[in-house]
Amino acid sequence: MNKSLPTTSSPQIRPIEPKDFAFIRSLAAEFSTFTVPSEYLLWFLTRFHPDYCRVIEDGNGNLKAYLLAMPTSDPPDGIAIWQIAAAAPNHPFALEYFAAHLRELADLANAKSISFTTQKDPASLRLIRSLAKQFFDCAVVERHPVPAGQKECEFWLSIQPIQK
Amino acid sequence: MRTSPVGTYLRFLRKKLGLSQRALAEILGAVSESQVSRHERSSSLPTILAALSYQVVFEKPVSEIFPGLYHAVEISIVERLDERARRLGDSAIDGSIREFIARRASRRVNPEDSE
Repeated sequence: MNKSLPTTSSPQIRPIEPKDFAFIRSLAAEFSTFTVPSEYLLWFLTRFHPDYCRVIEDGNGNLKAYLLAMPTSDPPDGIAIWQIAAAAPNHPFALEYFAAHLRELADLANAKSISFTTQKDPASLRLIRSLAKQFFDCAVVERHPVPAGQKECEFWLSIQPIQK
Repeated sequence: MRTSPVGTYLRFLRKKLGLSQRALAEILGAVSESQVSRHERSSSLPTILAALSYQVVFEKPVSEIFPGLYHAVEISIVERLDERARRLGDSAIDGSIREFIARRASRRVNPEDSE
């Protein structure tokens, strides 16, 4: 095993608690395009959307990644991802774990779409497109540029029910 | 509050086929039920024999069955090569590695030549 790769022991996914806020804010601050969420905003999101806001921790209770998302009314029955972040070098693993969580969540909530914004970084988009194909059997569709000057675009995927 | 092991694409594939971990292990032969469970929770890495067995059963390449691991490996190697490429003049770098980096850079510039 390559020593530079993470050796996460028994990672768990769970709802976000107030004790996690400092980790989330600290990690968000590492990304230049991220807005650092205030503690009030984190409380609000986790209070009203606990299934959509999660952290991943390893078997020793060390936090590795977080997901902040919410249901949408436009499009109806959708999920919008605000932020996914992972402490390096856990990013690819975190995306896989959160994709699995979003698949389960979409099935439970009968969601029809997932929206998110990101920069057009080829490596990240390649992984996102492959996860979308794998977990949701659909393509990632580019929609509109985000008019906030962060060189981000809105992307969208249409979810199909699992065909057994 | 619900805390659960992380989901993985391997688990998703198994459930999509309606297989229990025990049934999958029985099909695989080379992998025990508890090993399937550990692979699904990312608690241990599959051996090459186990990985190839998953590939046969799910009819997908290993890189697809373990997307997080594959991309972590990819990123690790790309970063290492990029770091070497930044100091190509360093005599400590093996000549064959320099040639490999040059060939790789050439394929990036002319991707249609690489296939």
